[in-house]
Amino acid sequence: MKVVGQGLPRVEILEKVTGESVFGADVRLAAPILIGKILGSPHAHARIKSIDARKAERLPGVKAVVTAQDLPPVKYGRFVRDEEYFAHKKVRLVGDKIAAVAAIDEETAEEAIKLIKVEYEVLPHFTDGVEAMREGAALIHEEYDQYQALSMVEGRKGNICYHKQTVQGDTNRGFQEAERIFEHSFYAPMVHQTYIEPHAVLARVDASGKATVWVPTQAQFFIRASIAEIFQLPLIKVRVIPTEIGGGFGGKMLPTIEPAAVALARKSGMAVQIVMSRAEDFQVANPRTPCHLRYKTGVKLDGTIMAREVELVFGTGAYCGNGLVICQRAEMLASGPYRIPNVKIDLFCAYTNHANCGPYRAPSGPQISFASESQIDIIARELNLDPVEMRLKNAIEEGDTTPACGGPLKSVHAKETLLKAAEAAGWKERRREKNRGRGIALGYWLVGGMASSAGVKLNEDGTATVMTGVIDLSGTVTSLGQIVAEVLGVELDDVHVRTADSDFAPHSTISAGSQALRSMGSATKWAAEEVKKQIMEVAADKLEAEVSDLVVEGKRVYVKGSPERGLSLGQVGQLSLTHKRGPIVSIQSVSIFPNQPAISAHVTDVEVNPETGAVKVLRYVAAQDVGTAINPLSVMGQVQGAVIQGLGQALTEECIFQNGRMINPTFLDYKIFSSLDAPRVEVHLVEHAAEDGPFGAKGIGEPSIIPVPAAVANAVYDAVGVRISDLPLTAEKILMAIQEKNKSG
Amino acid sequence: MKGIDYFAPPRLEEAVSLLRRYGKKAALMAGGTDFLLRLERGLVQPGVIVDLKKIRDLRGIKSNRAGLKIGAATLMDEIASSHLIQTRYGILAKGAAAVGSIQTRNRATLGGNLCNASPAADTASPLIALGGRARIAGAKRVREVPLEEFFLGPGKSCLQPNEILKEIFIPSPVQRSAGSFQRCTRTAMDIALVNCAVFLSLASKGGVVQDIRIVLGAVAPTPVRVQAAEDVLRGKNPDEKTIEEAADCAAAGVRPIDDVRSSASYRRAMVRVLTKRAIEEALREAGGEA
Repeated sequence: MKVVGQGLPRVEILEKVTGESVFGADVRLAAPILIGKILGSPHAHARIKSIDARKAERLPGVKAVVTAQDLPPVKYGRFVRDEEYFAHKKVRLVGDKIAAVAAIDEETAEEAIKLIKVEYEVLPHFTDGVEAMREGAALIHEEYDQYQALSMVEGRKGNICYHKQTVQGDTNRGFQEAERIFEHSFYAPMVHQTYIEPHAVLARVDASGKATVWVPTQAQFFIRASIAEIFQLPLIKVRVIPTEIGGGFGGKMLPTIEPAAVALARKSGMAVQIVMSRAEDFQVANPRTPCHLRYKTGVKLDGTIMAREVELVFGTGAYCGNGLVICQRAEMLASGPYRIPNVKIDLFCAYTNHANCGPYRAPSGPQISFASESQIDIIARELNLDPVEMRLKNAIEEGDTTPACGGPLKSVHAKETLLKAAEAAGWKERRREKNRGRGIALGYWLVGGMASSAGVKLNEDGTATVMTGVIDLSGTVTSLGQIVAEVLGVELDDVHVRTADSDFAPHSTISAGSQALRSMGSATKWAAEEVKKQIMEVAADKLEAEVSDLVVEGKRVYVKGSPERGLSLGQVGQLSLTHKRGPIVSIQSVSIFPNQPAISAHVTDVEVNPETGAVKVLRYVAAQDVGTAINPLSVMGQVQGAVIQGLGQALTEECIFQNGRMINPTFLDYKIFSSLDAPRVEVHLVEHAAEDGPFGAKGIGEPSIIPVPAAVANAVYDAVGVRISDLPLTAEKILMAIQEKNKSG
Repeated sequence: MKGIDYFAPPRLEEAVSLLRRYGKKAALMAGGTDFLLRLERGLVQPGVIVDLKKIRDLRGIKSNRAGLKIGAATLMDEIASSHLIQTRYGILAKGAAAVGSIQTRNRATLGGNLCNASPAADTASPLIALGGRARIAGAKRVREVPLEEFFLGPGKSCLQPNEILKEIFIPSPVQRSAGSFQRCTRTAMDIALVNCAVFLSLASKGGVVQDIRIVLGAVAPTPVRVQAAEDVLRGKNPDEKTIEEAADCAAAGVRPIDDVRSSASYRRAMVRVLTKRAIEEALREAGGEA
């Protein structure tokens, strides 16, 4: 392969580094733009007694005020229809939307917000899932029984919006057969995606009633569908124009401020922009679900896992939103990348009075791996087994299944990935040093694939244009260009790919779940292959040759064995316009893909300061099974980024709540890893072309965030002998644990 | 943020007379790295902003035999990267280098860091340890205040409404003196959970501590000197036990709070650790034996 497999720079890089790229808040129109602001609830849970917005409407400079009365009375939600866009009876989180205003400038809009008077009757609130699930807890949704929901939503009761039990084999028997049984509890708090660009939107509604929305999103077709549903419009009356996006990590798929901007634009007749502040984004956007995890594992003395029972309690937030995506994922991942005959998984998803939690890079993955892989480490130590050997003994192989994975797994390289990480880190040759430790952990992830379509057209000069609506978060369009260039025998520079909007792009999958390239890359590859066929057809007529005798290569099509008997692709492009088949173009579709394991294995060395508890990450080795790396530069960047994001979750990140309000909604006190904290991440790719996916590529964006907290926790234990079971592993927690340990001898 | 008048006078006298004219409506700004955030969040609502950046007399580092003068509007990065400060007043250079990011340090000023009167200010502890004095310009005269008396509480300094911090004076260090600046944070770029500055001098021979100042940040409403801990060491040739005693004394002498960044008990524990480290390092640097 000539273009696929090359580490090429991203195609839009010049626009990015010169500042030309237009992000959410950069969009400008010829017409004036109003500034919109949203009034959010100050209470985590309260009944609304009255809303009076008259004073705000009368403030000079205010062009529109909207409340629930301005929208159709629609309850919406992807899994459970439990959400109304503006609250009018109850508020269920701090920041729950009550009204929005549009004014000529930000100051006026802020002043108007303050003039809206709302009377509340404050109710008891819960920011923890276990507390919300207690018998007799105040209900967050009294009418829950009447809500419409997808049929998969089972086990509804009280504040539990979803409970599912999954059983494989017989865990009672498995525990009887086991020689040792281990039980541990863990906790992973809410963390936020901390994309560099907070949510932003610009909306206008034209004379025909059509809404146009400029928004940085990972899922333009989700946003279009949600707006159409909320405003009860046909899809052709909503146009979503995706801007460049400053990171998403799963947090930019469902609407947050977009419907408010549309409602204000409709009422004012003007364009309206809303840009969230960082604090608002922290408080109300869709963070990672906090989770209580209980693991009970039965093993033979040789380390063979006989049975595993897992109980997970997710506090999903005030509305279901995308929350059940996390549960669906958790069901697949909870028992780990292991061959276990007897498994029982209990998943609880509870309403809580904070932001709707949603997908965040590998939803449920880091929480589960932290618990599961910490416990595997504990067991290995107890049984005097090498942690690598223990994992090798149980790791899945080709054709194995894990709960809810959807059938025998193909392209499984768990053991090779594990061994690659161990070998690269010098697992066996380590030297013990005081207060230094080494930890290993496996990450289990399954990559699916969603319905997608893409088009390729050959231009009259032999260049090609890709028509796609896929959002480029992490180099996707560059990889699409490489795929097309490879198929058509041209260079990446001869292919143009940029994201088109929802009116002009064929339906695109979301850029999430590590499947954008797998799905969209496949559709694009098929379209390119169809274009190649058409090129050969047109050329065959002109060259008076059989299609089967033609070769497409080096920007030319020629007769096999006689390269001089050929045409440039430009000539073919020109010819096609007068050829009986007409212009060369193809749109192809793909449907749902089966799940495919994408395993990551990490080894880290840390040093713990025994006086302060501070952890220094000395070295980080990450191996990942990626199938074929279409663009190894992008893949390495994804792995490194995921590790560094994961280190923040392991060591410093946490949304802290007081009275239902997040009290650290700034980067001063929500501490992410910066370049000063990050170690060099050594990346090792395991490359075997996978069963499906373009050129055998697997999904790569998420897997490497999964094992990080566990790898670090295991390394900390190895260094100073303390086991921290709730994230993050702050210096303070570690110091307390060390002191406790010293006290008890 | 509507209707704020903005002045950027070129001379200190003009700035003082603007303060006199506008009284409480006026707010002073230098680098703006803290001020503009407070303005944006509505924590300050001035009618007039007096920007001090254009005043040349407020900028620069000057040294003579008596000591060092640093203009209040001197940039943090100028202080952190000054060879003179690094070699003769090293703990101040370290404190300045700890403030924010490189971008922040290229805007933020020493005077701004001090006048904010944050108990966690990373230049305050070193300056108090070095015996620094604030020179404050008022309408009629310039008065001088030891920096340890400059801070009154979180966000509160001894500046009167019509006064401007003009410069900081630090006396020349005596022979056989040295210091140490230590801090404890959550990540590399962070506000200090605790900071500690020690500056000490040794008697002409041997390891007897002649004088010492131990200053702690972020563990009380203002940066604090812990004199009881200093007394443990003064006049002694400290061994490990004495140093630990002093560190315990420091930990007992502070009033940290629980907040989103840290618990009070962790802060207290860190006071002990940082004080011990700082004393040990300062003794080593001064030529004594730790």
